[in-house]
Amino acid sequence: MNEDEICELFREMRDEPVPPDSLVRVRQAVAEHRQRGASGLGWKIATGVLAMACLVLAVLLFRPAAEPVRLPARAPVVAAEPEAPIETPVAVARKAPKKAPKPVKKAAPAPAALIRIENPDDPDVVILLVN
Amino acid sequence: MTGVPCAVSDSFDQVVHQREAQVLRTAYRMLGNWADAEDVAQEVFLRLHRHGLGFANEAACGAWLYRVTVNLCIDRSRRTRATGELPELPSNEASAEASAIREQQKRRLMAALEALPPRERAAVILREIEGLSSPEVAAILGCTDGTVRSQVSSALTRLRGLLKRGEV
Repeated sequence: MNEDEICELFREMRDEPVPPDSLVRVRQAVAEHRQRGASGLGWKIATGVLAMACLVLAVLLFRPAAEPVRLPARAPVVAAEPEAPIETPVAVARKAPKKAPKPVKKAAPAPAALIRIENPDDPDVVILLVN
Repeated sequence: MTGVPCAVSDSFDQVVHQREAQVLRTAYRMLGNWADAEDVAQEVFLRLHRHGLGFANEAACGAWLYRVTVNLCIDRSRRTRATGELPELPSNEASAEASAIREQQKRRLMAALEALPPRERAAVILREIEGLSSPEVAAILGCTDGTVRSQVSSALTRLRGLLKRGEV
């Protein structure tokens, strides 16, 4: 068989009919897939919408609640007031007597007026007023 | 390019009706059996459905269908070849009747076609059987005009050799 004969056979094959059964099967299969695809698309959209809704709901439910602005510092301060002043005034009181004698010594030649103020609530706090 | 219109206004069903023979025939030439050709044709039309009918003209639609058909067939051929399944070639028995001889020659030619590399096979089928021009085949196969001519020439030489040696 030479090349021309081969090409002639090819040309004959060009017009060969396609089995009608095959055509029908292809047509049916395509139609079925399209129908399935159409219903599948509906389900896909519904699933997507549902997933989005669940996501939004989850975000809303688990979002940290917006707490009112409190003044947390004040409440503890009020509660700790009896304790806190104890240390601070003590430091002041300890220093005050040390410093106080010096002017007293200097002022010793002249009789100086000394006013002593005591805090009845806190006996450790003593205020001395000189002259 | 031969083929029926595939205008934008055509409905999908119309296009399937008009082009199913072209797609099935091409797939059959490429694969050598109608069952596989039907599977490929079905996949081609489902892809057309997903793609839509927004082609610039009927030639573009026809070329698109040929391209998808050939690509699917080449993929399928590779898978078949990978499994080591080679086509069964008919014997070279003489028949008394001329038409029977002709039919047998066609069957041998088809068997020889299956022995070709997939791209050469596609080039021969599109140009020699489907009657497309070399530039049209080049556009479908995504290669140059010269490559198509070279592939067809090489394929015809191989076919002649296969048929002469009686390997098919």
